[in-house]
Amino acid sequence: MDDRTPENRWFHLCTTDDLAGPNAFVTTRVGAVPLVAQTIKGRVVAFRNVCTHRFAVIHGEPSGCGPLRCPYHGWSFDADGVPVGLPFNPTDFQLEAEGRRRLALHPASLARCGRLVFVRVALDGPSLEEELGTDLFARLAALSENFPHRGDALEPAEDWERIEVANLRLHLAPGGAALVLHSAAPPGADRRFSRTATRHPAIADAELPV
Amino acid sequence: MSTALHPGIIPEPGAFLPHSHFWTGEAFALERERVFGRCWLYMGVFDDTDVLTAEMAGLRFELQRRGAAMEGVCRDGERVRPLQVDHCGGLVFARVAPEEGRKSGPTLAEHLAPYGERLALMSTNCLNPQPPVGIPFQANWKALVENTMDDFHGSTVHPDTIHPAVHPDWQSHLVTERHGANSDSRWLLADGTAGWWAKLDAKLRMRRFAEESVYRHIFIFPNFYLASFYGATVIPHRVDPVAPDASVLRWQLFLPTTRLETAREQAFHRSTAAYLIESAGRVIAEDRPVCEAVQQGRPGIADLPGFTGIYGRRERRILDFHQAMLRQLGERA
Repeated sequence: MDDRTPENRWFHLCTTDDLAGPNAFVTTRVGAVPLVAQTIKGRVVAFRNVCTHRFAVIHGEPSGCGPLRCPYHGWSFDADGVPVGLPFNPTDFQLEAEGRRRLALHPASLARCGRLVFVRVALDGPSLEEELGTDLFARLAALSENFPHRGDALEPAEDWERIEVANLRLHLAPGGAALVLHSAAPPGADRRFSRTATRHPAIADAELPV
Repeated sequence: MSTALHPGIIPEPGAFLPHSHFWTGEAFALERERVFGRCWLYMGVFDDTDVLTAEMAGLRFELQRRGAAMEGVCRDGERVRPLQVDHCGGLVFARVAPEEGRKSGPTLAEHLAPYGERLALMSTNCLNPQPPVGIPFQANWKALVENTMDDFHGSTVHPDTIHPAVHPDWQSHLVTERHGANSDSRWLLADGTAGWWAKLDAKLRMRRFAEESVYRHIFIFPNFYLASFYGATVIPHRVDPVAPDASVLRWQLFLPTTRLETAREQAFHRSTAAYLIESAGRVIAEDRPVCEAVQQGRPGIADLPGFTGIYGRRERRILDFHQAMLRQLGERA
């Protein structure tokens, strides 16, 4: 049994496709900690999803597309988590570069395994590969790369292979016809942070509608 | 615009409430005992029933008026304690009477200082009461207090409601007075808004406690604020704690129309009151998600040392509130 606190464990968040667009983001919660992974100017970064000004959750939706901007007072943050847009800064805060850096968002750990994106609250600890083990990490990476296309939802059957890792359950159809990914919401997160996706292999490209 | 320097304040630990005070049962119990069980609290404006009731942090307050005399009790489960009841103009306040041997605490006038006279004057406009409104928030009551004393979220949270209603150069015209736990902010209304109120005044002949084209917001520790528009309409608000992570914002509109003789005048008064209540409700509906976002966010950074936020020039009232809370919570019986 894993006796580590949720904050010290990796959790599957999404796939790289979910973060492919400019300003695409995906959020979750681990224990009491809201997390966000977001693409900002081509970089995929992860932070605690809490504004450093007055502590509001920045992105309230499980996923979406939009700048990393707090809904309360409009503070916006760059890929390093540093506030770059501060309404009324000249009159109300007068924060220079160093002051802004002090108010950077707190980072979270982010790791990829093929197309799979994982996050962890703690900054220190074993890498995702160390945690999963080299063989399982390689298998997951290969599987995710072999099923690059998102498709219509399929219900896994009894004879599908089942792999469980962290909060992620994968169901592989016989013959590699499809892969269903189900991410359970981490401890402390409500059900809207659970995600299910059905993915199809690259060889099916020619059969997919244009 | 003032050219004086007003750098943001990053408070030192001990200068503001610990984050955990926004969600733990322990903090809620302490507030129940030392804030809501001791402070003067706004109860309402008596109507024909001569009865006022309120519930805050699990304490039930029951007041009665008999002639000029007012009395009441605070029920806490089986425990019943007498209330001290006093008024400031038409605004009625009460507090749990100090137990024998405990210091008597401030008088109501001292508690309201320096706004007693102004509140009494404003309360003369508590005419034509509209039905009280209560809006639940899934947030600690202090998140709502912080929100209401934050003078600069209008452009982001209320871009289509409050923001266009105040003067475009609101920064130059905003006046904030701070007097420890109590404070006052005044916003100059936009010309169009002031004109709208002037037309309304011409039709309704509103009683005005002051010739002022402002939105005024007086905060009285711990959970009361009186808002007014155009020196005429007054809206008492009270933030009632319900649970560590839940509260209800209660408010009541008074539209002090003096010309209510004809059916047409009465109908216009009713429709105006309904419009103002709907507008106020829309503003509060905009505040609720951000208060709830703070409630969700705070626990997520509470483990990080030095994550204290920053308070800008127009957020000083919030730090004043934190410090008043710390003083009140530190007070020993």
